[in-house]
Amino acid sequence: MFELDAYYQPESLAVALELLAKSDGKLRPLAGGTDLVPALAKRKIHCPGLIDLSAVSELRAIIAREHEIQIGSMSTFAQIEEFLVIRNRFPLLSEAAASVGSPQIRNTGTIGGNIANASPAADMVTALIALEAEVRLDSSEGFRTVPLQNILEGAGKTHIRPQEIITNILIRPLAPGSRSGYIKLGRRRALAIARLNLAVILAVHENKISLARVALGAVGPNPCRSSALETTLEGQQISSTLVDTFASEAEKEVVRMLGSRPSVSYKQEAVKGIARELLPRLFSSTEGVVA
Amino acid sequence: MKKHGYGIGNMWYGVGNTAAPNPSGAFVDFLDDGTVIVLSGCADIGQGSSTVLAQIAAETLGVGLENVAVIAADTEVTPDAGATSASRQTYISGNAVRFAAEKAREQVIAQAAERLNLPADNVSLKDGQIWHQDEPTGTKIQDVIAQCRSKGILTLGQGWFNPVTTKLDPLTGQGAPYATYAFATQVAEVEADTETGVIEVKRIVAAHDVGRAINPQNVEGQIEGGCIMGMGYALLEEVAVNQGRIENPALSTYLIPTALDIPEMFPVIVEDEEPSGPYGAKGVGEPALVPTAAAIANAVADALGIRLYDLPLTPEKIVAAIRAAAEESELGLNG
Repeated sequence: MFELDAYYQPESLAVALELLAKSDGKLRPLAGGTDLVPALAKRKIHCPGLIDLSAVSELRAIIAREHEIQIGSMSTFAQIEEFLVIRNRFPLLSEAAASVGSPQIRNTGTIGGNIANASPAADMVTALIALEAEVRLDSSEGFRTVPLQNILEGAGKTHIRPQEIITNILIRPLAPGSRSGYIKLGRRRALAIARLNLAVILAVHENKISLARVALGAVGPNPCRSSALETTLEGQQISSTLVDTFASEAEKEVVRMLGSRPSVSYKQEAVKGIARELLPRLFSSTEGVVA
Repeated sequence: MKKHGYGIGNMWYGVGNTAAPNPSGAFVDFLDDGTVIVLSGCADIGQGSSTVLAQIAAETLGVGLENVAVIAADTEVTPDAGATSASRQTYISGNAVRFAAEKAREQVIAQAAERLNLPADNVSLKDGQIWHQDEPTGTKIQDVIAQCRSKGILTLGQGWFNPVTTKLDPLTGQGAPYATYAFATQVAEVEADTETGVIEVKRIVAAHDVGRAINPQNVEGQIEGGCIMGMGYALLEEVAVNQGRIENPALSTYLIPTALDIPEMFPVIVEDEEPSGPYGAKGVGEPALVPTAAAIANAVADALGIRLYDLPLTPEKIVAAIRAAAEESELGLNG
């Protein structure tokens, strides 16, 4: 496997932050480890020591308040998938959590780790970007709260400082009557990395879309919003023609985002297929409607 | 757009090693408490051969399955049974166990015939008893074995079987490479998404001639497992080689189906008894996966109207083939 000079398992955030501050960049926070541990074992990443956050119980809480929901960074995909308030108020987030890996990975991997790992195909991140999630970063000096999209800096890269730990993810509630959904295209139905993923949030009044948020993943360095696709939907009447228009706009958007990457010829076509699966589901049924 | 298609795949497949001797041996010891010990070199790698061999011994010796202990694949004590490969163990090691059990049985029957004053031809063993024609005699098998022991007779047998094959003529390639063949037909139903290129296998019906199913549930398990493996071959399994190096040498990158990818499967057992097999049995291990990829590829051709010849049928290949066909038909229209 691999050797470490130091391994800490603090039981409080304060101790974890102090260890990190004193380590001079030599220690890395360890969340679920589903990405970090294999990367260390394959020597793709070298780090002298780890601060295992699994015993810091204050990072595991999910707190639903009226004006926001606060998800502790060490909450596992399984917890998020099953948390009732998330299922009711942010169905796309529980759908995204349910699409990750396998039951074993969902029991171990965490939302904070998914963000810090900054994979172009991160399942949760696409949903969180659509939700305009904010990330709270703590250090021994204090904390800052930053929109998620502002801390992603490319594949595997973030603006998280070496002495900072992601402590919470904050999401504002969607307006009642909003519909949201998430879809993932993988090579198989479980244990697959997303070839594409798509998260859509709609506010619909009398069959007319008043607000749309659309995020795409695995079409660039990090998942991101698409204002072009949001504009395609906003102000429009729900119809099957709109699904077709959206699909062809999604194709253009994927071509624009992927540029000359070899995967573009497949993904420009495939995005239409996932759009045609997700949008009618949001248009027609009451599934995914915020209570 | 989602398109539906159906496809069929047929196969016949030789049971045992090709044009080569591949014998298997077994010992069967019938103890005086009615226990049967079977020694066979046959390795049960999860396919259930130890269960099947126990059933064959139990059937031959007229005792319950719970009375049979199989000691398998221990090179210290078991006779050579050849490899667990070539779909051969039920057919070949099954025969070896049957012959060994028949030798032990002959000892018991000879003793019983003498004791009951019956012609040995009319005596058989069933349900732990000595039978005369179609009637139980009330005499227990283990009492007869005890009587054998009191006379110093062991109820012990050895057996072996080697399927009759010939070498292939080096000039014509002709000969009889296998003693028996398995036959199968599978039908696959797929749904092809013309945009994502994803092929979803909805249902597979798999009909297999196994000679005789010694253990039907086990045969169904083998058929279902084979279909899943064949589905992986058809849709997922791809070795990526770059300058002589395999780029996906792990199960995280060399993908096979997961439980969530499994279609609805309908195994159909066809029993056409093989005269040279143990109780008519042949083999099903490899045949279960042989026709699956062909059935799926034919179903994809039916769904899309495009025939692909290169497995696996990945979403990229499907999308590229649809695009190429569209461009071709446009050229055809313009030209």
